[in-house]
Amino acid sequence: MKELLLEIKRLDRFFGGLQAVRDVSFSVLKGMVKAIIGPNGAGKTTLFNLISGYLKPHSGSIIFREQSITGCKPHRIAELGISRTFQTTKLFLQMTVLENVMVGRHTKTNSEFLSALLNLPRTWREEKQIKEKAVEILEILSLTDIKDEYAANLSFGQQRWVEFARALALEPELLLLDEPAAGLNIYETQEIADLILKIREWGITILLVEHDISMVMDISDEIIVLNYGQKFAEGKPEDIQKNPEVITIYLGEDNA
Amino acid sequence: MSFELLFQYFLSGITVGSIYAIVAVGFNIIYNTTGIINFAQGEFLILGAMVGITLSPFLPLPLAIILAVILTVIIGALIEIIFIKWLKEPSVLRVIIITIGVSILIREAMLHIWDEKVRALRYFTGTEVSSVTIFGAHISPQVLWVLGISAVIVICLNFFFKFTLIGRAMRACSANKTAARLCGINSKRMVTFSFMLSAGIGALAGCAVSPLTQTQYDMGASLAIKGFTAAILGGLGNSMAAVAAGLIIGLLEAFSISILPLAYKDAVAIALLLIILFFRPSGLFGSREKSALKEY
Amino acid sequence: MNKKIYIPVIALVLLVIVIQLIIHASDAAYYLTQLTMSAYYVLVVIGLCLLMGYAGQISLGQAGFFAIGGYISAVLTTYNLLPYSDSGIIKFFSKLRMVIERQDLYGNRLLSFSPWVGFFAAVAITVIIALLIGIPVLKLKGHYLAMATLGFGLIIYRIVLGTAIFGEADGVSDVPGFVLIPACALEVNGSISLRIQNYYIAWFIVILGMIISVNLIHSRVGRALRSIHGSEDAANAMGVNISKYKLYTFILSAVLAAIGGVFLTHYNGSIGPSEATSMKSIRYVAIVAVGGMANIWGTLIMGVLLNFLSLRGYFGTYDDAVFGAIFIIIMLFAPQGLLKISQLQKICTYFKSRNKGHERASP
Repeated sequence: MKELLLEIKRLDRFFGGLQAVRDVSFSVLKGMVKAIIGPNGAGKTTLFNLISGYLKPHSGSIIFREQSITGCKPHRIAELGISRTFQTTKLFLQMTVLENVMVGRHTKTNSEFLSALLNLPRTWREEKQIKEKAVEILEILSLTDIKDEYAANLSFGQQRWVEFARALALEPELLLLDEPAAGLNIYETQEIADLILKIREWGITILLVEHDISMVMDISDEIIVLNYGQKFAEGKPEDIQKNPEVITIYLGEDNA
Repeated sequence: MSFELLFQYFLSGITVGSIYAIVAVGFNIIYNTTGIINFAQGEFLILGAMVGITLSPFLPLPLAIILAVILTVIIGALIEIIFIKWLKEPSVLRVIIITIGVSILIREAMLHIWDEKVRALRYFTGTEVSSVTIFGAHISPQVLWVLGISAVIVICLNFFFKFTLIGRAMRACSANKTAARLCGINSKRMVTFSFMLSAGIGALAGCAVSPLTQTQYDMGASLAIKGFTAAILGGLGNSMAAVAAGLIIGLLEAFSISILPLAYKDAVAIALLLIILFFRPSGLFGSREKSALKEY
Repeated sequence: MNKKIYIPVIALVLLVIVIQLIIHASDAAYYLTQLTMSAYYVLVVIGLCLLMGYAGQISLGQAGFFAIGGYISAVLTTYNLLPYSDSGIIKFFSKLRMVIERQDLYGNRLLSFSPWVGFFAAVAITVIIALLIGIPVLKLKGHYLAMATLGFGLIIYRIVLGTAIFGEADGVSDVPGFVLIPACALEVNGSISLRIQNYYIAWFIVILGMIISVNLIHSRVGRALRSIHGSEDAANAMGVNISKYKLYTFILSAVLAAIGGVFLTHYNGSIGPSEATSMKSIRYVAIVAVGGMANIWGTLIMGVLLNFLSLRGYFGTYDDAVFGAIFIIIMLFAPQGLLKISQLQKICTYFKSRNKGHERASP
């Protein structure tokens, strides 16, 4: 029996009169790749923002490693071991690739303002560790060549990879990927899919939102279908593929 | 406090308040079309008044004021064309600094053209001693002029935005720039026009209030911050609410004199600004729902 | 430890000494006065550079903190406690040497707090005010943040202008020198005989300020600050506590401004409301902007240069206009600042890659 990592219970979130997420419950087991799919406006990104603390739910609870993180601030959630990427890649553009990944080590280090001002020995020992670890991560993702480039000068695909590296630098238990394949061509998408599977092998659990159905079918262990903010279906990729109602909401009535 | 005195405070409150309201409306016009806060808004009032004062000895008063407004409108257009128009997606910080720089340049130019003397435009009707008696309080006819002109400006603007083609086009730009452009509206021209419009009403208000409050080259900054307070209090972008907010601030200031030393008068409005920003950046009349989606 | 980051600091130390020697040799000692005053203003802009350039938060109220520092120290060191000299508290303070007796300009006896008390009180009060203002203000962004900090500065200006204890329009004068270490007669004082000593004191303080700034920038915290500037959302996702870091940086910048205010006030022997005007705050922002925003060395250079020229009166009656023009020109044509470090880096990497290319080309 696999260990329960994340549990979402009856989550609700409104925007004015619109209910973006309605009574959504599901759980994520340790070590799996779970995908959330659904048409535009189904509430996928809202759900992500709720889990990672960017939005507060109006009701319901989010439990991570048997601890409630409902309504926690994003930085606190990151400290607890949930790392995320963004739909529109959000790198620190004025920083180099290496520095971007070094920021990812923030939660694993703890020299604070005062010791930084005085540059105490502990601070610079830590600084060395941060750098070593960041270099190591860049090596694993084969990004060493571009480590001194400014993030602003990178191509779209490279930016996505750097964002992955940065998210991995947190050494998270759970990695939230918001449309990792958005804007990538078919080869780049395949590379990202391979990377996701590799990350899973390292023991990191993955929850992702994705539009590219074929990629989702290839890599996920379980899929949740959202429609109009509600959970519509949940199950193994094969089951979801066969579910006629899912096909209806995705492709419209005519194709069903 | 006697009723007459209260009424006197009340009138002086709504007089300055209506000027703050006009400044706030000027902020909103530009903000709505561009998302920019024009820190030089206060300078438009002073510039208009200064030009009016200079021309008034040679020309009949209405003509002097009209020329002052036209000149300020031209300067407003030039500012936009020279400093704003050609920037491609400038950051907020950049635009803030540019408009602050513009306000300093206008102020310093006024200092060198007109020196630091305090001046005043002549009274529109009567002199400084003539007064009208209303409810037992003696008030200067100029107060009525200020209130009347402010009211006319607000009503005309409302009419302009609701019923004229160009006004509607400006509103369309503020709602959705891309969509407006697809409908054939030249959004760039609308931005220039919004600067001209807010310069124009600023100059007119500046002329109207000059006989009462007098005019000095460096008064723009404090007008701007109080006008901004009014704009924020009303909820940025909402001109009708800004008018109400401007009057409220004017009244608060007028009545604060009876409690606090005169020297702190300016601090009252600014303290109010800070309080609003801290607790209700969406303004008194703005909705929290909407503001949750906005960034402050 | 990465010692490379201190190379510019050492260069600065040498430059400070060389400039003093040149001035000494060329018999133009009067320049030292403006260089000393510039140093204290540089302290303000260094702090603002950390806040604005690195953490990305604009403050149009730095002159307010400068004035808080200067005025508090000025009032404490000039307020005559003689009428209360018999009270227990004052006696207690006297015993601790926190209250000292001296003679004012007219030879009257004057009992007042020592400058060190003024200094610590100024810093403590600045921290408290920065904390109280910073918590709500730093939640705001863009225009709102700019206006709120401008408003804070204006309130401080109105308060010092309208309060009797702060001397209203005249300010506080007859502020005594600041004896730093009585044993070796080290004193912040504007008198001509102490000109060289004071030049070194001022620049020593600036160098200390630069060292802590350099440390901060090259630390985990400094990186976190830059990440906030880059993208608040992403910084948050990396576990950076945004509000905490913004607040700490705000307080640091306020304290640096206040320290500048304290020392300059003791150096000049007075402080007036002109130090608290919004135009002063705007100048500080202009200096950081022209220095390259996220570039403390550019800020340092521009801070010395512009303050020195301004203090020597080179801009004449166009003083404020010059800063206004700087604002516009920089923001229109070089929003990254004149001394844009990334361009230099680009040039460096260009040469590096060319060298590499040569290596590869030659077998």
